[in-house]
Amino acid sequence: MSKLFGKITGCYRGQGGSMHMFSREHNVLGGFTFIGEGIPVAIGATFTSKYKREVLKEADCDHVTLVFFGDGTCNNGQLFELREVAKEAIGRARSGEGPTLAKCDTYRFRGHSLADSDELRDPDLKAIDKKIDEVVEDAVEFADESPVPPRSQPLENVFADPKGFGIGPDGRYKCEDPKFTKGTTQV
Amino acid sequence: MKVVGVIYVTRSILYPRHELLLFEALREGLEEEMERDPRVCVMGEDVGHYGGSYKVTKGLATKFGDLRVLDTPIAENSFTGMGIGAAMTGLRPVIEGMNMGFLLLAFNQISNNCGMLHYTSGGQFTIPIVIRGPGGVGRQLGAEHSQRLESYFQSVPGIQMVACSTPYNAKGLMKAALRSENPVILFEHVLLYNLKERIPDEDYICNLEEAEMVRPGEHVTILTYSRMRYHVMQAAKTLVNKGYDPEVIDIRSLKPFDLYTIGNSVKKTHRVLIVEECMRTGGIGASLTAAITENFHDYLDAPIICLSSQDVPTPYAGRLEEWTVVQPAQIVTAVEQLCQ
Repeated sequence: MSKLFGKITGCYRGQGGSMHMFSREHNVLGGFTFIGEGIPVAIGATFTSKYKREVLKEADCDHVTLVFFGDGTCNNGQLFELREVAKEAIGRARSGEGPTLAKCDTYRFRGHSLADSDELRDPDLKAIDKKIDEVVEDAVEFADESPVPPRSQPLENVFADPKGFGIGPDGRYKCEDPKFTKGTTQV
Repeated sequence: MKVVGVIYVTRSILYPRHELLLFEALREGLEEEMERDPRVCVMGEDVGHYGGSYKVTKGLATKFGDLRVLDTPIAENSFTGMGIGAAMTGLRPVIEGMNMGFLLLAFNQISNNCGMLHYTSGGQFTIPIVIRGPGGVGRQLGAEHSQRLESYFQSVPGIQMVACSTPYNAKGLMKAALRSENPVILFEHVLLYNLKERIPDEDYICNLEEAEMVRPGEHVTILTYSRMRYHVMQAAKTLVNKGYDPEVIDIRSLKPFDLYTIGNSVKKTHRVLIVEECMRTGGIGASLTAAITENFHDYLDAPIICLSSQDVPTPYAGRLEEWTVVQPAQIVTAVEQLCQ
C-alpha cells in the first residue's frame, strides 16, 4: 500500500509503481508494465538455473521459474519467439519435453483497469467485499501515516554504480557532488 | 645509436606488447574476462559455432562450451530480455546484435527493462549486462544495415554507452564494461574491425566514463568518436600543414559525457568542432553542443560547429553513401571557418 501511495516505506521507495512488484528476498523478479516483456526475463532466470548446474557445477541448484500473464498477452510476439528460444537453449540436454505452458481458467476479479467498468459481472459478493475492505483500510492507514520519500530519492538506484552519471566539469564524478546526495543536482 | 638500442630493448622487456586487429582485441578482452569470471557468457545470433558475424567470438564456443557462448534464434527482443533475466539472477551476459540495427527490435527490453529495473526495484536487482555489436555506415550495406543507434538510445536513463575506436580501447572498454555493475552498450564500427595496433600484454582496462586525448593542440577542440576519429586525424594532417594546431579528443563515453576532459580543452582553445557519424537531428553531437553551451558558454569565442551525417537513410550507391557522411575536406573547411 505504501508503494502505491509513493511513500518511502513502499518496496521501491517511491520509484516503482503499481506494476513494479519486486522482492530480492523472495526471488520475485518483478511485475512488468508491458506484460509480455517479462516473459523473456523469466527465460533468462531459467537459463541461469541451467547455467548454474552445467557451467558453474552447482549440482544442487533446482530453481524453477514461474511466469504469469493474461490471455491478452498471448497475442504478444515475444511469447512465441520464446517458445523456440526456450526449447533450443534450455531444453537441449533434456529428454525433449521442453517448456510447459499451463493454461489456467481462473476468476476475473474486476475490469482490466479504471477504464473498464466491468459491466458483465454478477454482483452478489458483498459480504466478502466488506471483509476485504477492512484489511485494505488498515493498509491505507499505514500508508497514510508513512513519510514521503526524501528529495534525494529520484537519483538513487538509477545505476548500480553511480559513476555512470559521469564526470562533471570540475573533474569530480557527479555522484561525489554534495548536491547529488541532496537530490538537487541536474543529471 | 647504442644508447637508443639499449633503451628500446629494455622498454620492450619492461612493457611487452603484441600486435593484433581490433576484432581480435575485442575477443581477447572477452576471453580474458570469461576465464576470470565463470559467470560471463555470450548470447547472440551465430556467436557460437560460426564465431560471430565479424569473428569477435571465434573459437570461444569450442573453448567454453555451447551454453556459455549461446547461439540464439533470430529473436532480438526475446534474447535480449533473456540476457536481462540472466543478469538479474546472477550471470554477466554479453548480448551481441549481429548488426546494431537489429537491436531496434530489442528497444523494448533495453529501454524498459535494462534501463529501468534497477530503479523500479528500489535497487534490489542489478543488471550487469553488456550489449554490443557492429554499427555505423559501412561500404554499401544499405539503409537498414548502416544505422547509428547511439542517438536513439542516449535518452534511456540507467544505461551507459561507450564507443571503441582502436584495438587498445576496444579491449579496455570491453573489459571495463564486463566488470561494471551497470548495463553498458558498447558500440563497435563495421569498418574498424581490421585496424591493427600493438597493445600491452599485461591486464588493463579503460575507464568507461573518460574521454581520450588523441592529439593535444592549441587552436581548436575537435570532439569525435568511433570511425570519424580517423577522418578527423586525416584532416588534422592537412590542417597541420596549413599551420593549424588542432586538439583532437575521442569522447569514447557517449553517455555520460566526460565534461572534465572536454571542458579543460574548451577552456584552452575556445573553439569547438564536433565531428560525428550519427544524424544531425537528435544526435550525440546535438546533446554535446547543448552540454558544452550550458557549462562552458563563457569560454567560447565562436559558436560550436557540429558536423554530422545527413538526416537521410544511408543510400546504397557508393558515391551517394560518401556524400551523406562527413569527409575530411569538410572538417578542414570547418576548422578554417572557426579560426577566422
